Order: sequence, then structure tokens, then C-alpha cells
Amino acid sequence: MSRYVVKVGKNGELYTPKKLRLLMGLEPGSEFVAEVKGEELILRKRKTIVNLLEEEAIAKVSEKEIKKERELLEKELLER
Amino acid sequence: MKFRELYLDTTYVMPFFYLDIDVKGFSRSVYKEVIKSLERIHFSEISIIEAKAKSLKIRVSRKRSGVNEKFNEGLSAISTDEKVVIHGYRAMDDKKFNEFLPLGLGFFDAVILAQSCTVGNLLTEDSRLLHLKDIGVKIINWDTLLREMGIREK
Repeated sequence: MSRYVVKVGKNGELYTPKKLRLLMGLEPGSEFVAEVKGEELILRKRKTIVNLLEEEAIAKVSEKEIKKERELLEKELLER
Repeated sequence: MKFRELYLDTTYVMPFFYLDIDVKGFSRSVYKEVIKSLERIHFSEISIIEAKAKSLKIRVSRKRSGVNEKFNEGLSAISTDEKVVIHGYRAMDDKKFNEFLPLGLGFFDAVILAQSCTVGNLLTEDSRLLHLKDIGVKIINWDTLLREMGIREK
């Protein structure tokens, strides 16, 4: 794990060291999701749906399986 | 034809949860270009539940690790992406649902079709839905979408 010191500007801007920007591919306009856990601040690169499609799938599902799943869920819901 | 918005049936929501689909001519890279070209994509909250159910089964039956993490990653991205509109079930949808159910559709099919009315189109591979005519929604499959958008399969 790498550690960096990030300073806060007058208006709350976060100033990141160049090494960190290069490592994380930070560009003007990059967006992050900030998660606060006690005194920890975790910044995660915000993924868009387009980013999701750039990555490989982990499994394949058939149209038949999707249809079957729908029928099972409907059955469960309607027979309650 | 240029689409600005598209309502997606569950099949086309699966790829956002890292699940590929077996639609002829479908690829993640072409789908990415389609999604990039749209201003908004819409889908039902039901589709998220269906995707979750499917991913759970894959985790158990195919013994795949990381399925839960990938699902959560997808859910986080669709929840924060401004391009995505997730449809809940509203009074207007209920009126349409009551109109559509007697057409011989399944329960979820009728909900999804009802919700797609505000968008005016629906991308699906469901043959029952694709055969419907004159219901105020343009129902298309992947092949038609690519043809109408002038995209060639890669």
C-alpha cells in the first residue's frame, strides 16, 4: 500500500501529489466517491456504466436462463 | 435512426453486473458504444432484483468467487451514473399494467412494458413482447437496434 499526504486548500480543494495523480490516472474532472469511516476517508474512483462495460464479464447467462429466473421469481411472488 | 433514450429489459441490464448475454451479435464493446451514444438509459428496479437472483445462482452453482463484489460494484456504478434512470412502480405504471396484463404477458413483462411507456421504446429479446403491435411503445431487439442506429457488428 502506498501512502501520500494530501493537503486541503482554502476552499476545501484536495491537493494531490503528482506521483499519486500518475498512479491513479487522475485528470481534471475525475470523480471519486468519498466514504467516511470514523476518522478514515476512503476515496474510490467513481465508475460509470461505460467503465463497467470496458471490463470483462465473469460469467455468461442465456436468454433461456433469464426467462426461467423471471418465471421462478414471479411464481414465488404471486403464490405468497 | 438516432435514439436518445432507451428502456432496457433485464437481459440488457445483466452486462452492468459483469454478466454476459447470449444474444446473437452481442458484444460488450459494441454495447459500450451504444450506451455511450445515448443520453439516458432506463430500466426497472425489478431488473436489478432479477440480476441479483441470477448472480446468486451463478455464485452457488458455478462456484464463482467475486460474484457478490462484482454485483455490488455494478450496483454502485448504476446508482451514481447520471445517465441511468431506475424506474420504480408508480400509479401511471399501474394503469398501463392493468391494460397490458390481459395481452397474455407474464407479470414482470407487463410491469416492464408499462414502465417503458414513458420512454416510448423497449429493448428486449422476449418474443411475446416483440410480437406486440400498436401499444404505443416501439419494441425492438438487438439486431433491429444495431440496424436502426447504423452500427455494424464487430
